[in-house]
Amino acid sequence: MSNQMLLAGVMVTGAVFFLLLGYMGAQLLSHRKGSGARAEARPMRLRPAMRLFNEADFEYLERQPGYRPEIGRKLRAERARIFKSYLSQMAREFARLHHSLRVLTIEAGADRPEVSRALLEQQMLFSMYMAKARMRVALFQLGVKPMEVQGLVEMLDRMQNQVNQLSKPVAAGVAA
Amino acid sequence: MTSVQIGSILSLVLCATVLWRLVRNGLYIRYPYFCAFLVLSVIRLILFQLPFNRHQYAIVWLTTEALVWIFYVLILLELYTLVLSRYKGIQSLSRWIFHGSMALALAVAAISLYPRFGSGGPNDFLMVFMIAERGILSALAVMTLLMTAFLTWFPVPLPRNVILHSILFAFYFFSKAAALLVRNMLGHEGAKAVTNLGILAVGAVCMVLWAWLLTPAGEVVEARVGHRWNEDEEEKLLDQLKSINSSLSRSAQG
Repeated sequence: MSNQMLLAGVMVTGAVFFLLLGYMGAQLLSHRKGSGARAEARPMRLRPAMRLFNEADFEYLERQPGYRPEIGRKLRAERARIFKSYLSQMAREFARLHHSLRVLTIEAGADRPEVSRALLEQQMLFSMYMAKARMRVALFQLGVKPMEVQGLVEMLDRMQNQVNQLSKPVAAGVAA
Repeated sequence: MTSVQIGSILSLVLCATVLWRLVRNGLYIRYPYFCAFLVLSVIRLILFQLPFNRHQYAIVWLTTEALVWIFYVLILLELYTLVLSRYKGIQSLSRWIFHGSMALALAVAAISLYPRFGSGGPNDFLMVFMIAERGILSALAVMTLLMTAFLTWFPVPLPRNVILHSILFAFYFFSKAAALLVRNMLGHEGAKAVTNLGILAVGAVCMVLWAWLLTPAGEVVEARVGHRWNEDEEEKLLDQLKSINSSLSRSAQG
């Protein structure tokens, strides 16, 4: 490895390390200003998202006079964009409730190994799930693979209910 | 007088200043290993001003540097004990994360050392010592970063001093490890002089920040009224978490 490459590597690694450190330091300092458990439930409407990837809409559009492929592509892109905003909403809601649960866990009077482990596992699973959902939306947008959206939306819907249920003990905790 | 000698004297003054401020502010009780590290640093910087020959200097440097490594580890232990003992709710998880971070940091450090030791390796004891030092510093930097990430994710409210102390140490460990890497790889005298000066400069910056930022007011952490869980509530919460996790697991795999 040449000296220039070595120095460039050290500088890039250093820049990434210091950026991460600075970001986390700022986050930790902001925790001190007190962001306790915030758990009021916010209803979300994911059901309408089920219609966004309905292949019948695209087939109907193709049968119309004057149809051009770019019209279909535009519609796909638009619907993918709307669905991504549903996913972002879901992610924000999850992050908010999960944060509240973590706050309650660290403030619990005794050790809660099972709960804290379940929360850690949940964060990893949710991140994997969102990555997969985003990849499937991207594939749909490219027209590579039609998206089986019904299962996905039903799953999101079910999860939303479960996440909302989770807010109950959190809300109780805030009220206590 | 060379620039490195000037830097050493400046470091000595700065170390003594930080130590004096910690004692004056009463913070030496909170950070005993850090204070002991500063005492050791002051002693070794005074020793370095004495007219040793090359052999004597090497013995003093190697012995005190090995002691400094031990203090680095003790300071990190002190720091995370201070942080994690406050929060009983995540005691087991934080212990597990601490050991996991340590194992991961050691693995990263070992991988970073392989190109040097794996290729026939250095035969000079001093070179081996300095490569080992780079490994230890890399491991400590990675570990501090991982622990900071854990504390950020589990929104632990920490005293400002602990946050700054942790960030400054991570900065110091990484900068020193990077300087040693550059020195090990480039090898020539010019690189040695520049990296020695760089290490002194980073140390001086950290000392100024420690002296300036570690204050008694920085030990205060906002108290929050926690929610005491009863057994039923915990069981219900666990069931809900497990149910969501199993749904997520099915969806992520399906």
